[in-house]
Amino acid sequence: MPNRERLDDELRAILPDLEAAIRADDRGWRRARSWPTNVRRAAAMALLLALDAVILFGSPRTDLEVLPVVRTLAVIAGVLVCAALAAALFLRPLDRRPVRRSTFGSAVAALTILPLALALLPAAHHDLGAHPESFVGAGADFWPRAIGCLLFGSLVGAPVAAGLLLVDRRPRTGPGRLMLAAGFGGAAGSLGLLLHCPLEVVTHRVTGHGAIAVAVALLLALALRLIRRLVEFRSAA
Amino acid sequence: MEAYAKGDTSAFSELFTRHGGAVFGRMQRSVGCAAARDLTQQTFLQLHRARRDFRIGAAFAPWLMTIAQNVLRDHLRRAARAPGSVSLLDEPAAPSRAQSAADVRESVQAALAQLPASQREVVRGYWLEHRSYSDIARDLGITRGAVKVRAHRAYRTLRRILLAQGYDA
Repeated sequence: MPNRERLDDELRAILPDLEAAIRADDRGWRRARSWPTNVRRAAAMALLLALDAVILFGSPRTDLEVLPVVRTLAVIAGVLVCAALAAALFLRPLDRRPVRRSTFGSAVAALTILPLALALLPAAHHDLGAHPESFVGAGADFWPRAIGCLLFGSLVGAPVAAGLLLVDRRPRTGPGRLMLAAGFGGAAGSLGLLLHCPLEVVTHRVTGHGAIAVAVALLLALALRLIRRLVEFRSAA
Repeated sequence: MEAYAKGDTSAFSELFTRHGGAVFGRMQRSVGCAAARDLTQQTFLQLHRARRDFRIGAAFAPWLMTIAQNVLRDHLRRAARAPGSVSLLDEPAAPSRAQSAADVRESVQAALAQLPASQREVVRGYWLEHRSYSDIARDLGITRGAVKVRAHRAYRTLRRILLAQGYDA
């Protein structure tokens, strides 16, 4: 242990920088990090719900009327529960004991494969006569539609995951936490596709819907790398 | 802390004056002086962000030290992930006859850097931070037995590496 005098010197040297960091932290969007944890969790979920509500009311799937209501509501509820658990885990405050690594790893794995599990669910309806548009997306149409859905889901999921990162208090996001945030975004993207895409062809859903969490993770990693480069460039300039 | 949680910003410097030394001391024991400054600052920044999570009437010091411990753990994990970034050897192994302390330190650092991150964390926690296997197990989220297995494997590997460099068993 340093002696008292040296310790006081160290603390005196830290305080001005610390106060400046706190002042910077109280400006603009950074203030959101100081919201109480439950408010931050609610805000992340609200962003997810808001984007998916825009899809539901702005561009709903065309076969909504032939979907089985109970099953659809059960799937939506399941996705929302998974997303809420992901937000709770990701935004777990630092004044609490950390969760076990195995628990964390299981959550990340579960959220990463959630979109794939949803894609592999049996078709919600088989009524080709009532809604033939649900059974296109094969042959020459396959790749354009699959890539379209992957982009759509990723573009819904990425801002939701970014929202989660914005209210995160930790200084850096490691690969595991990045993947958890991507899983949260993936849940948002999957829900968006569930509400938007009427295709019931399993190959389309696996290809276009099943890898959204991974696609969101790639987008986030790319964005974070660009931001870090930009910050380095600006501080060097 | 209650005043600070309720919005009295002037209470912060009082908190820092009262508890900064304990946090800095905890960090310094683990990571040395330079990193301790950064981690102490990080801990109090996290305190600032978490002030509205503080339950009025709860004990403040354990709450703050939990934050400090988590900040330290995150730092050590990041350091373990970065290859060759071990910089925590404040107390090198006992120097052998022929080599200087600096040589030994360098060799042990190089050997430690070759360990898998999971084993390196355990060696560092036990030998350099003087923490118990139970504490390390709790922080890493694994069982005490798993920590001992990692430690055993790490010592075996370190021994092999150092023997190959001509050190005595």
